[in-house]
Amino acid sequence: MIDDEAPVGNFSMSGDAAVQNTTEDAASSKLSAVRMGYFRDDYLEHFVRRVTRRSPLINRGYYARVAGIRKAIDGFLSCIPQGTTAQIVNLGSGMDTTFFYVNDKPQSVVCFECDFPEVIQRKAHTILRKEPCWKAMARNREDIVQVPGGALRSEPLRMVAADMRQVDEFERQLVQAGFQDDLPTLWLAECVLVYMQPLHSDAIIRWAANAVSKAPSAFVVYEQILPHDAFGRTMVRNLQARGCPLLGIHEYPTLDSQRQRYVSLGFTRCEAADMNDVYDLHLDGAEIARIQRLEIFDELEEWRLIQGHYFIGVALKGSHDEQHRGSLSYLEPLTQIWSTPRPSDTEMRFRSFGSLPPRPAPPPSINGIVPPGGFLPPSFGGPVPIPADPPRFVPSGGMVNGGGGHVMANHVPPASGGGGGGRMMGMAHLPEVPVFREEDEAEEGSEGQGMRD
Amino acid sequence: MPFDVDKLLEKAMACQPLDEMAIRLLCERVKRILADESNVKTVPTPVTLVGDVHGQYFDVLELLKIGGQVPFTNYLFLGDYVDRGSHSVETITLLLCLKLRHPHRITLLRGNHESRQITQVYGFYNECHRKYGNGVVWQCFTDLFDYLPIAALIDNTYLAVHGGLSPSIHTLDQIRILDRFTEIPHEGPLADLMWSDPDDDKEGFSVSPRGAGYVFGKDIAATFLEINGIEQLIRAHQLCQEGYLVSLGGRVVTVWSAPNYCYRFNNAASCLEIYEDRTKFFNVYGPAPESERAAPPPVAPQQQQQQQQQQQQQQQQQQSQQQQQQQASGSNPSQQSSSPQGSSQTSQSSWQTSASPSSSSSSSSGGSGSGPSQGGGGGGRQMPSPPVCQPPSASREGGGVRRKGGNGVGAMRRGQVQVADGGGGGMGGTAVGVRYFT
Repeated sequence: MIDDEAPVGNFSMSGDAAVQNTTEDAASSKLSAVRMGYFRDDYLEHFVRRVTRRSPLINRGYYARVAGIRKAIDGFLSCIPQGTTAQIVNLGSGMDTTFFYVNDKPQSVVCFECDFPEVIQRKAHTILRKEPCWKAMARNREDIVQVPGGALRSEPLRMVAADMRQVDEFERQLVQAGFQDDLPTLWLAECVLVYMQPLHSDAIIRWAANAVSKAPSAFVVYEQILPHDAFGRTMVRNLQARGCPLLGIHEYPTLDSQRQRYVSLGFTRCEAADMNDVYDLHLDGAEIARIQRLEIFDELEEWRLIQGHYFIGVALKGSHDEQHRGSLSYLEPLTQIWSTPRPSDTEMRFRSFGSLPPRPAPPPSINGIVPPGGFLPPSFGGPVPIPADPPRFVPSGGMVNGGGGHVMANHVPPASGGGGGGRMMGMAHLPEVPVFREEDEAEEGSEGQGMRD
Repeated sequence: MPFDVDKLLEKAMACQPLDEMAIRLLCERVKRILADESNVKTVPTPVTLVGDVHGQYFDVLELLKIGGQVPFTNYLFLGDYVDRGSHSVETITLLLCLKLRHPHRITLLRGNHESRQITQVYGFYNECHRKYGNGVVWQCFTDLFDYLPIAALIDNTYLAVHGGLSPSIHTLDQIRILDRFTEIPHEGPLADLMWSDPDDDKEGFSVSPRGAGYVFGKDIAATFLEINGIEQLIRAHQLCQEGYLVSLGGRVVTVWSAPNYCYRFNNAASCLEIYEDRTKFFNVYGPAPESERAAPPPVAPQQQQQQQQQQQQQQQQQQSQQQQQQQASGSNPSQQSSSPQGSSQTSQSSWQTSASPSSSSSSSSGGSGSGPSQGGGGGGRQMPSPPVCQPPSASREGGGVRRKGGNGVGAMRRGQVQVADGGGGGMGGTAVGVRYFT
């Protein structure tokens, strides 16, 4: 059963606690997508208390988020010269598994994870209890240092427990954890800054822009925009009711204002795209075709609307020397991250009824060209071949048999394989994903529980 | 236990649950009625067409106030009664009771959500399970969905269907001879009629991003209408911010009847009234006021104290009145009148309704000999009606009804604040399900 009505955690909290709680929802929603096959993340299950299944919209949305951010991370890592160690500073990391993701990469990376002490402690506690997790940190458990306060430190992963709004203290702790100002650095803020007052989030960005003086750096951000239209107003109101208001959204409400924000705070340039563009134009087409077959998806209008209210920004700057020359050094290719759309063989744009501004006209559909595997009706048993040529409706004179008899009612256009009109879809065709039952709710607090079928 | 459809209808109109046996009998009887209906049902004007309602029960009650009560208004519903909203069970129950009670005044077509597979993903199955404890009721409903007709022909002039056109269907007769008594298939004419969408930018049929059905253009619509001698295709299936949308050069009309869809879109809803002279009117309206939804909205602490004080005072007054009565009459009825749960929060409906001709005119869309339709015309309701909607848990049906949350609003999760609308988020201080990326 789909379970969207059970955000994990306690609703009576507010303020910092409620903001910290957003990581629980993000983690459990990401896990729902992982379990449905949208993307791979072998470590996430250790950090999620209760396994639930989210609606297709949520699954697909988190897929787009993870895929977009991974694209930025991969792009960054691929720019790093061989032999150079890179730094990734994950701001408000929560239960995020980016460390495990980059740890498997060939490049040499040091990750810093920063969050409130309570969150860091919980994460540290989990890592130490789960062998696959601490094994990723160090070959021997003894090599993992736990500093007072609970944060873990090892060579590839250093946790920093701090309130990032106190920037000076935060900086001090980061440096103490081994942060260097001469290594290419990626700052990651995934749905974090918007929960702070602009004065705090701006201070963090400004400081980050100056923190790495002898190497280029990039700042990747994912968060909400457009608070003023009907959907945005409701979103703002709903999240406020939930105790985690979008404090920063009114200050920087549009893509343009966000771009300017990073430039004015010290970065050279900022490439930003809303999630509709990220999904439609920049994610891998074959992957999109694959994930669209995973579930029935009947939420297109909602999809368009919600994706238009989130964006991914990639702000870039060179080292201080290069700044003067306006150079981004070897991070230059990242400027193209949202500029070169993938080839439009996959025609997926859908005109929405609604309040979004008119989109540029999609390229004319090229008849008969269908991506490998095809677009096809939701299929749970396996891919079903569909006609290579969408059937053409032949105007009068052509279709109805000249003899006056009508065409057979259940006649299916000739090229259609895989069965015509009457295929039954019963429960046997459901995907083999264990479903959340309410009885499971009774077990709060037990981590990593198995699923009952 | 005698089966009294009037009693059931009364309960359904009051948002009270029916027990499992009643649901089963209701479905059996409505199936018998539906079995006699053609795939393309003939519907005469005057009639009011209603688009997707998606389990928004209180907005359906609102619609009945706006468009007129059955049987004084004839209705044609275009499908998608369940899923997404939090009261799918109440919604479909109400519509089926109305169908049973007034079979010729209301037509129910099948939408793409009237399907076993979709309802398992988008909420109806969950809700049935929550409210009845097992899947029997869901099975009854989905078995009944197989019986719903696919299309309606209004005065031989308009064709109504949930989704749109199919490359396999060129004439109405082809729809008539389909076997509709089955689960909606993945593909084929039955699927297309319930999944397709018009598109102003395209010609011909093209692949639909929904994964089922097709997207069709102006040329398709024009040819289909001409071949079949009809003037317009009226359908639902796509959200319209303004409640309705005319597309493909006037050949296709979309009606959408779920206001503030999913409590997030802030959209208007409409119903399309077609009169005997074939004139048409889009009656646009907004959601039912908060005060009329299942539970009173949560009250701020100071107001809560005030309310409690008021209630105490009222109780004291009542008790003293009773004592006086007892003394006067000598008897002692021990009546406890509960103090009214007046929630003093009434929300003003701030709906911009589209300018509509003064339809306070006589033109009532009822059948012959009917009274004037209530509240029709002029669009949405401006005045919030008086508060006090008693939570329906006040009376509990025996046998088989398991309700959580006390007022049938939705399961109470540990730590979750009691919400006015259990599903899909809420307005004004109610908790939100997982509907955003955080």
